[in-house]
Amino acid sequence: MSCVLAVDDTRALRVMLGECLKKGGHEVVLAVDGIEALDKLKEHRPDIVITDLNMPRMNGLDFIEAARKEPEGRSLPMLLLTTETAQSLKDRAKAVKATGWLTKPFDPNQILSLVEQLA
Amino acid sequence: MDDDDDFDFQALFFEECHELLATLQEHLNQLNDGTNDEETVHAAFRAVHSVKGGAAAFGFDQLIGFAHIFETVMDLIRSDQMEPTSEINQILLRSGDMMEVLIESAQNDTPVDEEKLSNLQGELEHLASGGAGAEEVPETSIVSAKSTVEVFDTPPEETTADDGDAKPRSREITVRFAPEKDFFASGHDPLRLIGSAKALGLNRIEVLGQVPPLKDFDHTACALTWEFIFDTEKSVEDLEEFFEIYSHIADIEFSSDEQMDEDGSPEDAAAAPGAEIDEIADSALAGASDSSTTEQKEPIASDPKTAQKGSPRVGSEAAGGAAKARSGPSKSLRVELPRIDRLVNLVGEMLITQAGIAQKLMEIQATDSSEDGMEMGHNVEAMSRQLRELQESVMAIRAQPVKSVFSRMPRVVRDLADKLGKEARLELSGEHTEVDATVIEELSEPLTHMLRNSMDHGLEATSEDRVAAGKSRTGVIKLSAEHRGERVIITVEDDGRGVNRERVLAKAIEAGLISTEDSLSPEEIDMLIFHPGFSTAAEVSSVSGRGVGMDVVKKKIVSLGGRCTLESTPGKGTRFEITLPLTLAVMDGMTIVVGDQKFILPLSSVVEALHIDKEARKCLPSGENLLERRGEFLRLIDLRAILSQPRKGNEMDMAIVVDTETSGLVALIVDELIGQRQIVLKSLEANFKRVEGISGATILGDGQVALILDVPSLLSMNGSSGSYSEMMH
Repeated sequence: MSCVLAVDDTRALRVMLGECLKKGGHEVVLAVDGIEALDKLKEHRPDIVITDLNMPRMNGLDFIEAARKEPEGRSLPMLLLTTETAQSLKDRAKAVKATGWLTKPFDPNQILSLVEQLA
Repeated sequence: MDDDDDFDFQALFFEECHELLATLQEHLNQLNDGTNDEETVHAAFRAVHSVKGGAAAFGFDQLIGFAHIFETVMDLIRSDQMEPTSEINQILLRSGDMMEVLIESAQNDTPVDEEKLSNLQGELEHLASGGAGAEEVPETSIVSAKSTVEVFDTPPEETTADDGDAKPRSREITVRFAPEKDFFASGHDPLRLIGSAKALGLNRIEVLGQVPPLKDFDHTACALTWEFIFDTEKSVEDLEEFFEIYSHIADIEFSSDEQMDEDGSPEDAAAAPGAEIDEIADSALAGASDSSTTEQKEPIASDPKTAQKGSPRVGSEAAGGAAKARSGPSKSLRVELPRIDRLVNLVGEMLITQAGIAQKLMEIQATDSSEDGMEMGHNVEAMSRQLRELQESVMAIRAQPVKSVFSRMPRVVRDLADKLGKEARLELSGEHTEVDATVIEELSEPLTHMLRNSMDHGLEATSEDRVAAGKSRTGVIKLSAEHRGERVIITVEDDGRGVNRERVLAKAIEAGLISTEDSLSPEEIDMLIFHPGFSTAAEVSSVSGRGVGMDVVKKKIVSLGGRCTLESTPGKGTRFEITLPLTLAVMDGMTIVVGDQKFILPLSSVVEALHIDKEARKCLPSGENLLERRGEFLRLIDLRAILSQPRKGNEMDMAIVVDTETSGLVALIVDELIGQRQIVLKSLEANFKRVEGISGATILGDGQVALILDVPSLLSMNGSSGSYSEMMH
């Protein structure tokens, strides 16, 4: 079991993601945007992060970029979970060293197996 | 994952959708009003985006499709590639309305006007393709219903997958895995990869590439390439799926050897990698030889390495943190309304109990003037103050800005403008005025009715008529809210033609509501439109004029303890005013005695109490009584007559001057004045039936029930035997 930081500004999705991970036996920490996620990252030192892309205050890409500069996030698997599919965003995701890119709607089993695989 | 959990998530999603819709509409309205700052556009964009994200998670295709194109247009505006002209704003507003329709459809399976949807979608697509950023549109393709792990670069297919063969056979698949330099920096861990790959039948690992000499060695960069050799029943596609998450950061090649690999024995992993990888490779091999013969789909969680890594996390720190995280970032808490209602009710019950104690104490003090009694009196007084504070605090929890109702109204006006072919604009003000949540819920329907009435009857039939009358083409309807004392005033004001009194009068006579001899003041004529069964619409329209509109409004408002009035100036417009109590649960009341009964007058309407001098009392030939009060004559009304209470023969009457709000001050004759206190409102309607002139009931300290008088409606039935006396018998 791992500690997963799940970041999404949409409450329903955040909770759903959280429940899905909890059912998979994981510890779950939730955050509503990049700013909060950075705090939670330092506070809880998760094993893996799954974050939405479009969020107020700080989006998922900026969050990953910032997190990579923190000791807690340097080599942390950080996945983007989003409806976006634009190549330019994916290129940016790679540039900020996102671990991977998932598109919604998510498949709970897939998420769980990825957490096992990466965290 | 159980599918039956979906339901709750959906409910949560829809609940959130409604909040997002409100945000969206608020910001679209701001945009429409000319607020074109970054934050407004961003907020609207995010709301659409969040709805789309949620819809995608639940597979509401229609909503996804629409939200997608809507979002694309919002994005163009957001990135300054499109200027939100008033024309575009109108499309956005209607799109916001459509989102609401689609969300409702997704939630309740309600029908959607397909034609309207496709027209609007077409308009949005037109906008999207016409914008400067058109080249971006095809890129952000609509999310497919199936979930995918994104493949950054399609892996080269050097495979000869054998899908036609139904019988699973073990085959050797070689995966050449060449990570980029940033592999580690992107949070990937080859050891984890190897550990997970064991479950797929990883047999052995070849290490290719050269570790650079120590002086050039960069521990953060990945210099190696691996060849993972699987001996597995899985297909190449299965493995591709497993490796997809690495596809953007590693060059991966799959090759499959269909021959059964008899030589499954582990070869020595190359000596080049460091000891750690060696060790893992060994354990990977050992695991693979186990799992190839036993269960391959064994849950990975049972992998001792995984478990070991996870377990130190189960510290109380992490657990506590997770609990903390649930409370969210903002300092607010979502509580279901029934829980607060319960609290409000309990406070109400406490007020009644407290009144009982206070009364008993007074009785005791009357016979016993000891110190103890005095002290207890102080305590009871303190308790009463604290209770009031408690009650106010509880009520403050339920107070909500009227915005939640107001924000729905621009849409009502837009829809009606479409239907009626009129041009109209709704101006909102005082949206932040706070009212009890229970009142707010009930406001939507009467407000909609009133807006309909203003749109249909208030505004001129056509824009040309308006221009002819020297007004702007677009009719303006103002909806506002404000606090006035303990009440909330909501006004709906139009700049239309005003009430057509001749027609109202003619209609009322025709309907037999009044007779031709009655001489009514203009105000009285205006008020006729609240009369049940009254409608001035020459023809019944689909919008209003079924003869139920304003009557229903009045009924609803009265049942909320409020009142409605209107003011109309021919040719200039009509102004409706709704006066509502801030709360429906508790109010300050004046306890009075009429005959042998106790009644309550709302304290907010009481102006003063006075003794009636014989000389100050005048009688008109019509039989109406007047009371002179500091040089001013007030209508004097004997409550005993109205309430069918016996006269006590006491001529030293008390009078209470009450502000009726609608027809000025009146003086009410009562027998006795007991004093003021906080009372808990109990609905008479819910427990008995609606009674004209009575707005509710309360329980007094001694356990008796007292009725709360609704003075304006009492006056309107002045003299008639009314339903009150029916009720008393």
